[in-house]
Amino acid sequence: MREIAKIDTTFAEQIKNECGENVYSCYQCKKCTLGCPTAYAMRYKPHQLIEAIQLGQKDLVLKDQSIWLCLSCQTCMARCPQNLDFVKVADAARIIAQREGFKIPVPEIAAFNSSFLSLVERFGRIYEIGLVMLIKLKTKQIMKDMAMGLPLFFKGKFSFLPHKVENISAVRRIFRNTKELEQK
Amino acid sequence: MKYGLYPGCSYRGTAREFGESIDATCSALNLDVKELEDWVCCGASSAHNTSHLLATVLPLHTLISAREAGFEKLLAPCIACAWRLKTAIKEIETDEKLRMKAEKVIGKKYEGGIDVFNIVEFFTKEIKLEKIKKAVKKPLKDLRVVCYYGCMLTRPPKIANFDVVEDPRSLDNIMKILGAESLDWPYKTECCGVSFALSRTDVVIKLCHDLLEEIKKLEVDMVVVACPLCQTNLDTRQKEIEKKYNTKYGIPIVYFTQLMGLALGKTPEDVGLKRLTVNPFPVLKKKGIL
Ligand code: SF4
Ligand code: SF4
Repeated sequence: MREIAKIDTTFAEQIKNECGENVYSCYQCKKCTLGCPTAYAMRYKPHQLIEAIQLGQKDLVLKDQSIWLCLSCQTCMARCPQNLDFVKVADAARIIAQREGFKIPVPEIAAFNSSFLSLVERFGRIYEIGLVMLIKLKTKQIMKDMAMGLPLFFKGKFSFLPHKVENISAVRRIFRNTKELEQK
Repeated sequence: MKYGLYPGCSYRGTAREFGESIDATCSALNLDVKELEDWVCCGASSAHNTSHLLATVLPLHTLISAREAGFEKLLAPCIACAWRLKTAIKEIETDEKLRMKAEKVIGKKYEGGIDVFNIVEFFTKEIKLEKIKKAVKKPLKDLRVVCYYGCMLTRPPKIANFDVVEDPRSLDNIMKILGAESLDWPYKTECCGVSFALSRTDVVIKLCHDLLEEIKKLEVDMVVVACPLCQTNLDTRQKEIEKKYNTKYGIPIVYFTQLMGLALGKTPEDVGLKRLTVNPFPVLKKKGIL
């Protein structure tokens, strides 16, 4: 027997509240998907994700890896005849997924994002070795990327120490206040 | 003090030769560029996935400090930083609710009055090609290149407001006034895998392989880029891609500012030429440019 998908008729509105985009303007021409560099790896392609949002298939969209495989390269939105900004829709879906406790199905990307932001919160800037090490610890893949990392290291492109901004308290305040305001 | 510089995290890190070559080019053109003190990361590849407000306040903080430091024009060489800064301006100026929240988070008012340029716009729109052309000391004669714009330079069209979205020419025009031959090709604005460089490297390797295959057919001396992510993905991953697909490219991936610096009389050291992974020296020597 086929599973009947749970339908959440407020999902499209939730996306709209998050990012201002109206998914109902999409008429399924598929131009977004045809230009998308990672569509090949997505189970649901960009136009299908939009249709799923129109139809209220919240679980399907937020549980799947597809929204996490969007590179934010903006090809889809630049070509959409309806001016629908799928990049914003994907951002909104990722934000809602995290807020509502959906597990991020692509752990490497989750590790990248949380490592990136924790370094910014801590130092005000990114510091490459720190970023690489944090991702490696989180994904437990210590040896991966040595082929890329070593040449960069020998070319003097990795700094060992973080460059911490002086007024770090301003940065911490930004993070703290953002969290507070968003919890309200 | 005319232009503020927002270097972003890659300028002295993974894109160090980009930073060095921009410094060198600006000095060759006698431009008054000064780094913003105590700048903070714009959140580029990650903040937008987590919080719309955070993705707006991080760049807004920079815009406000640049105004406080007296700058009206801000150069943000990294294409991703420039995109984030410009997006923040656009959103703050059109979304009153967001603006109020953002100002509350930062604890300061945003007064506007600041123009952000990415590095290509900076030279083509602000400094202008005539000025660069006049300063050329060593034309890049006989150099056959292809310009790769990547995904973010021309997009989003409304914010980038840049050239022709699907068939940009700015970088080609710069190469031409420097004396190089710049080839046309259909993959100018395809994506290299941008911010998946450290997370989903499989995607980066596939996309860069597809690009390198097209580039190989053109038989060019090198690829000219303007974005730190494009450069790093295509250059440092090239060996890995060759191995995986059992092929050979050996194509140098050079920042346009490096070639510009050389044409304006700067040395290979000045423009950080040695920092590239695929060695550009042999072909530049062969062409009599070095
Ligand atoms: S390009 Fe726009 S209208 Fe066409 S399917 Fe994609 S989102 Fe819908
Ligand atoms: S922004 Fe995302 S969905 Fe759109 S074309 Fe790029 S990768 Fe595909």
